[in-house]
Amino acid sequence: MAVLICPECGAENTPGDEYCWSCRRALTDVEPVNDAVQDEPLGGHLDELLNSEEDLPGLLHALRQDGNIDGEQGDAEDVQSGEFHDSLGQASSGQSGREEEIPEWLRRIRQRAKQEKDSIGEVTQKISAAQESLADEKRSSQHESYADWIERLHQDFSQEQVAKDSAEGAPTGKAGQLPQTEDPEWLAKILKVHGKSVEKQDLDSLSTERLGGNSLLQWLVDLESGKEKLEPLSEEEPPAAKQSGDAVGEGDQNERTVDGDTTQEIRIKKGTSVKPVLSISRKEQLEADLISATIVDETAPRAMRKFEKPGSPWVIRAAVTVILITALSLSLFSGASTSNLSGSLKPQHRALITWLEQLPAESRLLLVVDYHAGFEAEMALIAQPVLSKAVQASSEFVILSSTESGVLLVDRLLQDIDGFETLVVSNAGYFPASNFAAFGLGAGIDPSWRFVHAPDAVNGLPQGDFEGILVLSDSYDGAKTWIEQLYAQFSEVTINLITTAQAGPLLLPYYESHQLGGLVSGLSEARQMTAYLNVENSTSHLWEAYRTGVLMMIIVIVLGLFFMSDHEGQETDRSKGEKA
Amino acid sequence: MNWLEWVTGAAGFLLTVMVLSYLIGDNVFFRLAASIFIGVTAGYLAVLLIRHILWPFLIQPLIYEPWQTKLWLGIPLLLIFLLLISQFPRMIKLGRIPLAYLAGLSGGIAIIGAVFGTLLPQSMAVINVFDAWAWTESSSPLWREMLEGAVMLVGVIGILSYFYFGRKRNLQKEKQAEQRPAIFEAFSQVGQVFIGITLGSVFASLFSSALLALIDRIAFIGKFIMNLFRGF
Amino acid sequence: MKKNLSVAMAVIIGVIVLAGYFFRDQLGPVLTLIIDWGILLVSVLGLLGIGYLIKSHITKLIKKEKGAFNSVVVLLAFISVLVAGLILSTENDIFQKLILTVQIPVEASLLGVLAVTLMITSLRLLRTRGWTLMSVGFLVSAVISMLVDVAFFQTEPGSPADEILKFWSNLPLIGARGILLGMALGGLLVGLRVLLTIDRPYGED
Repeated sequence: MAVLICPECGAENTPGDEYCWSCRRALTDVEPVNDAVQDEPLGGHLDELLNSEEDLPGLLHALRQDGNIDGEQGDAEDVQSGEFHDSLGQASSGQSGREEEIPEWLRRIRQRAKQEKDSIGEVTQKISAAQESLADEKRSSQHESYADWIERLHQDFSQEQVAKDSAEGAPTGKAGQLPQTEDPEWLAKILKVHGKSVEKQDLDSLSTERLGGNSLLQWLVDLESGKEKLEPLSEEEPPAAKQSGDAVGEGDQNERTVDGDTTQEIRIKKGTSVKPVLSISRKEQLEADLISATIVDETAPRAMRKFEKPGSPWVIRAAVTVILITALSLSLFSGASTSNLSGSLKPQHRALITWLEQLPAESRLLLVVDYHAGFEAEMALIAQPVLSKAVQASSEFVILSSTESGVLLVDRLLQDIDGFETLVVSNAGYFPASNFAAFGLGAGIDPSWRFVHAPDAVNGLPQGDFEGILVLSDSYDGAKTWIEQLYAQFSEVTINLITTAQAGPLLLPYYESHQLGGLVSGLSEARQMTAYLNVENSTSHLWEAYRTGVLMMIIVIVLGLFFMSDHEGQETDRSKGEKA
Repeated sequence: MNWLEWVTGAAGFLLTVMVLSYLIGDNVFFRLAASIFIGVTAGYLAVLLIRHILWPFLIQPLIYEPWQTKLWLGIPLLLIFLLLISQFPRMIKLGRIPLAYLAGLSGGIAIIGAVFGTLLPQSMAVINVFDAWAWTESSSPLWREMLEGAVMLVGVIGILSYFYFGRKRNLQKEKQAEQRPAIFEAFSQVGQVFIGITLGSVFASLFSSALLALIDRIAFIGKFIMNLFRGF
Repeated sequence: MKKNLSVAMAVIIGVIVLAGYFFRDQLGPVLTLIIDWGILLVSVLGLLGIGYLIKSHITKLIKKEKGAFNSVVVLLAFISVLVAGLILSTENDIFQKLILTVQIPVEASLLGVLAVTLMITSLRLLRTRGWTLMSVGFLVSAVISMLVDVAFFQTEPGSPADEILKFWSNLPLIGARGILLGMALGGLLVGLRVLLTIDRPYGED
């Protein structure tokens, strides 16, 4: 039966397959090969093997030539090859077919030996490794004698055999010695055919000169040294071969030169092939299965994910913008009346008002400006009632800004306050690092000594005592920095915070922990303060528009809940479909 | 309205409309307004730094003060010099010294602020919630004070568990390295709720500030248009 | 050597600051000098940052990259404000009006854009995050905070509804306290790591 042998991995495929089942290589350029593997007992061919004079030498020549080991052509010893030992991991029929190619099983073994070095038997593995190392050493001018190589190989093999036998409970010999068991059957047959007795040899006595005995190893050594010669191969020219993998003629061995190396082709008789059996350990099998599963998985067709085109964002954005601005404009310019304020003052507002009312006359207040131009409108609404009250009680404001536009904004803020003209305003200016400025405020208070000739102008931070500190901030970070440093430096001075709505919730704990004397944030709190302090304020015209905007936001959030629910169901179904 | 108010009003109106046009989509007008803003802010910041800090506290003393005072400015001058020459590729390592100066200064200040400005007072505030004397003096009912105290304690522990600051992990006892001990996991679930509640409140407040700014801009546009019509 | 010098500088300055907090009377003037020099350094760093910004725009202009027109606008605005500020001074009325005329409308309008964006984002509030403890708490808290802010709920002082509302108003405080403590711990750790030279944000060899 013809089969397609994959040149990549050596797997057998049915003729007609386009791709190898194992590695998915295309097989369109591979010629079918007659599967010469048949399940026949080796023993039936033993006579043929025993009578064959060239199979084993040819096989060994082929193996040696793979490793580029020098071997002299000589008369092939009359050795017989039969079944190799199972521990070698392969059974070789030593076929002497008349095909024009090397046995398929051998070719596959070689291929697999190159690619999957752990999938074949141990000794063959070692032979391959030894071949490569010998070839390397030959190339690198450090030539190890063939005998040493054989000796090492034999030692390794025997050690493993001893270990294996001891594990199995079989009688073992010394390390380095062949176990005191029967000789390998194939060796015994070879030696029997050639009338040579088997002698157990102590490997320690093996020398590079003469191994002694008539072992196969000795024969190989003799071959190497030239004492033994292989029989010349038949000089029949093979039929024209396309490639090295082409079918070989029947029954003949041909020598041809490929890439400068002499290659010996082993002809296999028709009908004498034996299916090679590879002995692979369980671990190797699992690894091979994992690799093939990975390869299969990579090449498996995958479900394409549908790209979900997002909904038109600019449409939604435009719609929300138009609706919101229209609603706000209508509320702003319609002149709707403001609803009456209700609810009591919160504790933090009450505390601030109490502090303002209890400020001593001619007090000196530090005003820290830490807000940006974008919050000018909101800060004006929130801070004006407080500052109006503060201006009435104090005589001096010391202004310190940690934002670049703070200096300009606070001027604009104070100009709208009644009584500002009588106030003494000391502008300490802009300090880029608020934590440095805050820390430095406390560092220079009442120094008991000074550096001689130290420049006064270097110290730009305001000095002296303050009856209170007012921090105007628009962000949580800035306000937190000022509160931390000012409280650490001036724990006895009351610190009050006027902040925009966005920073209020996160700064409330500072009031609860009594680090702040008072706190006001946001438009709604400013309205309550304004009403309580009876200060003229322009919050009323903004309040209705503000309420409208907030209520619209609540409606949008609730709509989003219903909108999200339907969409979530669709997404769940889709994901379930994908998994199925 | 005088000419200055007209000019500033018109400029403000145009800039407002150009920035609000971003609501429709990114466009050349928005980018133009952003470019103007960046240029003006950078220029103003440079003016501030030079006029308010470097000129009065560095350059003027170097010019007008006696040599003993000038000596004191040698150290900041040296640090500034190292900072400036570190801009050249070969001298980049020299910039580490002034940066180390700033790092040490910031580190020390951060430690003081964190410990004495937040950690100690806030921890005391959590402890003081269980002050029995304060309960008796409070106008709220006792059960409410106790409930608030318990919720406060559980909430704070839950949030800190969620962030698991400085928690020592015994990897041998944990099934996986990523898993937290069960008690931390339980508290962190509670912490998540409180974090969600706080962040929701922050979200509402942020929207409140942004909405107020939008209302102010709409009011400004309306006022400008009305003044424009009155002017005509 | 340079590495040791920078490490020593960071440690010495940090230790002086910490010691100065406890021994203010003895180390007050030293602290004042250190902080003033630090402010000078920060100012120079700010100018260097502005310089890099201008340099990048000039480079864009020279190479005629995309957006070169905007770079022209930036450079023109920068130069005009710089010259006007150095000549007129920051106390000049016209100069102040010029600055605020640009800054207030642009920043406030950007906040207005933020308001609309938040509104659009709230449509997908839960779709993005799903129904988790945090997201549900977030949503409920946002809605209740907004309703309380606009005085939608009118409750009698002392009534059960008022008590419930007060209890709910305290919940964000608990979360904020936890967040503050967490952030303070983080800041403390960062500061200690810098002073113990575990972290060296000023660069290493």
